Amino acid sequence: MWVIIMSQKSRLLEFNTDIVDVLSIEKDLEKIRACIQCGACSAACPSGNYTALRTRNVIRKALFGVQSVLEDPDIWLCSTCFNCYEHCPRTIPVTEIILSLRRMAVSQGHLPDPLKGVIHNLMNKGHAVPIDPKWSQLRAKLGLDPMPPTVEKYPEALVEIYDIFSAIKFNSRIPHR
Amino acid sequence: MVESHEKANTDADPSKSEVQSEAVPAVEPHSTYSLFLGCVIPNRYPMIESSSRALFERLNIGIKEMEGASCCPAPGVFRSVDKALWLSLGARNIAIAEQNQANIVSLCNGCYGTLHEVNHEIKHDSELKSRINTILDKTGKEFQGSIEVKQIVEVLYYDYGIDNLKKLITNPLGLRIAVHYGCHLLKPSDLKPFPEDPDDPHFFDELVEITGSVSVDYQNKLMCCGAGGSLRTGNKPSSLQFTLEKLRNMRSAGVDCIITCCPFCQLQFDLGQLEVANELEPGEEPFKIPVIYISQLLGLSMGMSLEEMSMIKPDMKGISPFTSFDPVLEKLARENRLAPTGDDHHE
Amino acid sequence: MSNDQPTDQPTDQPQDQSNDQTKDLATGKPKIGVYLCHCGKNISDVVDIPALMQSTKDNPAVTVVKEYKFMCSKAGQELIAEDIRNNNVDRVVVAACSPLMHEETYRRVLKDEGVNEFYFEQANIREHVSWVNLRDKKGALKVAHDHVSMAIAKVSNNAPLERQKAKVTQKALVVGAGISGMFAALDLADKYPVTLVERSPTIGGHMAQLDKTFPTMDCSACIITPKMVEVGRHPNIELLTYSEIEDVDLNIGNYEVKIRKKARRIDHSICTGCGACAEACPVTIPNAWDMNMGFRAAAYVPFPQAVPEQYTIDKTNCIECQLCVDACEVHAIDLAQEDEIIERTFGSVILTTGNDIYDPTPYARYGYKKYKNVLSGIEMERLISSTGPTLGKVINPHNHEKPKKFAFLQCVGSRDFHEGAHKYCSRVCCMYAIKQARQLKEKYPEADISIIFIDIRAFGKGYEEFYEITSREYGIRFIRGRIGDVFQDYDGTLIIRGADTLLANKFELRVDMLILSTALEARADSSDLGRMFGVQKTEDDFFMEAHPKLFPVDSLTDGIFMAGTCQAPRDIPDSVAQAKAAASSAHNFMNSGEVEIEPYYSEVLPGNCSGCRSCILICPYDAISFDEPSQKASINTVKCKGCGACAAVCPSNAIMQNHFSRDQILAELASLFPWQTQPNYPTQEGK
Repeated sequence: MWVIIMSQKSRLLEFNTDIVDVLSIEKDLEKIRACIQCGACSAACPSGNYTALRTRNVIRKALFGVQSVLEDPDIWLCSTCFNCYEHCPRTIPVTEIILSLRRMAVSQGHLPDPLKGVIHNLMNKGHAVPIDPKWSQLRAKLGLDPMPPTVEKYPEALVEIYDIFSAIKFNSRIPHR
Repeated sequence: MVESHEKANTDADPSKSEVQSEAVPAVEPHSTYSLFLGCVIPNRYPMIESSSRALFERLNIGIKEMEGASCCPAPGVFRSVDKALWLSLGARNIAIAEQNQANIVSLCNGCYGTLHEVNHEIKHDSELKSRINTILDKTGKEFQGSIEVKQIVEVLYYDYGIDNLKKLITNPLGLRIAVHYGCHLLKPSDLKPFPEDPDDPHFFDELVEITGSVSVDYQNKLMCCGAGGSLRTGNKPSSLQFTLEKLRNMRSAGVDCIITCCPFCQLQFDLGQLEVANELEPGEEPFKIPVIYISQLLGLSMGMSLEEMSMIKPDMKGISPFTSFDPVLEKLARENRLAPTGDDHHE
Repeated sequence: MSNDQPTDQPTDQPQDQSNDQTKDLATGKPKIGVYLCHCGKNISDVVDIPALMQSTKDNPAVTVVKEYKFMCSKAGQELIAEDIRNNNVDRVVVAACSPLMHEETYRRVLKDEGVNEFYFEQANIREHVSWVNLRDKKGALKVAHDHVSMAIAKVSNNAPLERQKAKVTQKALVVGAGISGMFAALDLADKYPVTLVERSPTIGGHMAQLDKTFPTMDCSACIITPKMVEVGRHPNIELLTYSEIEDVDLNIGNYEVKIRKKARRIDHSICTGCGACAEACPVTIPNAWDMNMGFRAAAYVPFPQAVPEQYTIDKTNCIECQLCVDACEVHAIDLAQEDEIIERTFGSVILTTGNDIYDPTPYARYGYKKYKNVLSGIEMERLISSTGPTLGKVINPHNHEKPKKFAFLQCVGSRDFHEGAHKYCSRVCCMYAIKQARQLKEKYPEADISIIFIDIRAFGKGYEEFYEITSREYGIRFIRGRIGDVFQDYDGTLIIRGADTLLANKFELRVDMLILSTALEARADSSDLGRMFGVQKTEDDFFMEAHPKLFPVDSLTDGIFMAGTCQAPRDIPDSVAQAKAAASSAHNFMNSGEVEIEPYYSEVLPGNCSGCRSCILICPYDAISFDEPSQKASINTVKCKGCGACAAVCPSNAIMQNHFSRDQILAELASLFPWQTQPNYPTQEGK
């Protein structure tokens, strides 16, 4: 019996404060420390009705530095409806914390694949959803300019988008390929 | 000074305004806005753009184009990836409107969410503002913090004024409507400049009801459509679960159509009705609830034509709307509520 | 009284009224002893005491510096006494905790040793220094040094003062006749005449609205009704119901109070309480006493056991039809009756004005007001009560059927940091929800009940046991979690979606009724009453006690006390305990017939007064009047609380506040900036 227990991988969690220390750099996010785990966030979360997202658990894991919070897909199940923030009795910016955890996860290489295409659209075209000939034709039939007056119509503006990507060193900071 | 004062007085003369009211209601020139289009509207739902442009013209709301604007960028995906990217691209878009010297009107809750929050965050943090402007340096643009970002419902209800809109209604539509607010129109509520309770809002319902329609209360009305937060992009099956529940609740409340003020919610309900087909219970009817944008509804009730409101679908495959407008158009035609089509309506 | 140049070698001129022959007069230069307290480790863990000792010794004004672990202990006090006895010290600074805590202790040491007690200053280096600078020891030492330097400068400039004495009227006023006010009145009435003022037509307060009380489940009416009768009959209690405080003259020990006795429009010397007027009255309006679920006429008693058992015709709703006039056989109806103003003088006052109940309407997400079958806790209490609108039969307000499934949601308006809600725990909601759940189970054993809570706070005597029995024997589902959405299905059933935090799962419950356990909150209009009696409020809007631990029923105004839920949310046992404590404190205050008044009052220096009356306008205690013959302001030193507003506002520097004179305060400030020359402010001359 003893041997069996010893040979098993430990199921004990380890706590550290790394995540909350990073969050606390932003003044508002520091409020996470005031969490009383009441569950108002989970209760108000529409995603939790259908998915494995348990907002309260995400916050507790972040608070106690449980690394899996960045690796599990749960944080990507949030639709950013802000219900959790509106309902939190301690006015913790829960949605913003989830977004912050996502950014931490991305910087550690956990960017979900489906988002990569959207990022590349933005980098190359300036739009998350760019135009193509079919939609251009529809625009014309509705009496609109076939090309909208955005970067689609003014390709020189696209250079500005490239400039911003390079000014913030996006490629070297964010693993997105 | 004295002269213009007297002029104002004569304008306010009741006998004169009575004469005016007999003709087509006169519309005072209104403020000018920078029109922010984003991605989904111009590139997937151009009917939202064309109907809104027509409505603004009808309301005498001036529009300045935001030439070279990009994605807002989308709050779900890009805010989740890199905040510097989200803030600086947002700031660039706002800077374009600042060059126009006109507040932004967004036809999309997501773009509104991004631009409103980016604007708020940078305006209230001078250190961040100088960092952002360093990033924008090479683009030749500068974020000054000189304008406001508004959403179309806010502009219509608060800026233009619901009472002014009421005066323009000529064709009460008599529809039973499921209003979908969308999340980022209302929340985070502490940042919003208007006094709407996110758990009990009224302004969008009131806007819909001036068209002679009823905003039907349905279960879980204020719930998210499921598209936001990169959920549709990253996990479509989960995102459609939101939509399915809302569609079922709308159907059991007995509505003629869904009214949205956001192209992403519109997409989720419109294309979503086809996409949830595999999720339906055995024997459950497929959904055929028309999804209409607020500008289209208002335009019809002001006697504008189906063409002007882009509600006659061109003969093309795989284009929006994916769920046909027909049930609503047939009902309106049956009840003789539409403006006569053809040249006699155009001036 | 003047100190031309408060420097580090001040001269001191004792005040006129002083007859105290203090020791410093012999030598001319004050001998200042400074005593640094460690407060266990509360101070010494943060403030470097040896360094503070050294910097204090370097102050040329100081004669003796000592440190001790607990200056407030007997041994610590003896350190000071010994130095005074040995003629080493004649003025004392203690650097320790807040003066609210121990100023009196040290003053007594000086007094016992024959030194005027106002030659004492306390530097607060605990609350103001060590506790708030835990992570910055270097900064803490600097601030502690500043506090000590200021106290030394102040004590150098202090003048001997004498406390005044005033006569105390031996009558008491109790405002609010809920359970706290009733007990306070009964306890005092055996010794003093008591006037008990209640604004509603009956006494009893919220407790009379309750059906049963936790944790004993004894019937609320059975406990309170006999007490109500006792109050009504007590020969030494003047009961003024349907009456409100109109105005108060804050004269310590002799509070002159105007009470508006609202017209009941029935002559109570004749009314027999037969109820014929109410039967005849054609008006039907919701009865607020039943949380507007029952109805009453315009001629009414709120409930059958009301004390006094006399009817009232409510002017707002009366339609003047005169039917009651005809119905009353004893001709007691007097529709022309007018409000009456009663004037009384009291030696002490006890405020027991109770609480309001949080209105959950702003929380649209819980469906209150939107759905009829969402109730507040107090509404459920009336519905469950045998004296309630349904005589204790619980019905679903949506369809008037018998409900089977119930959910209680805790912490509605409590423990919530949103604007309009309350940050505090309301202390009673956990227990009242458990109690109501148990009552429902007793009435309907088949009932399915869930209590959705954040934490169950069963802190009182017998409460945890009550919680255990209720969960074990009655089978109530306790869900640790929260509700997100409430919808009403087409059949009226409520669909509740929430999260069970322990299962880490979302749940959906279908119930017939949802009860929101709403917070207790301060009376909406308590500010007016607080202002009249000079009682301040804490951040949560409740009345503020003088000290949460040492003076829990005292206000900062002598002779004015408080008890019950006007001070904070609390249960019945605590309210009664506090009421009895307040009665005892009021007794102590009035017993000797005299009161000592702090000599901090302000005085007018007539030579400087221009008669502009600015001070009269600003005085919050109505203590300043205008003396017509001399055309100068005149301060009633008994009413003056020493707030200093007049001294600050006076444009001609004609008001001097004892113990906080301009010269004393400037000397304190100068000690902070020793390198700067004394700023050339006008000094106070001309007395």
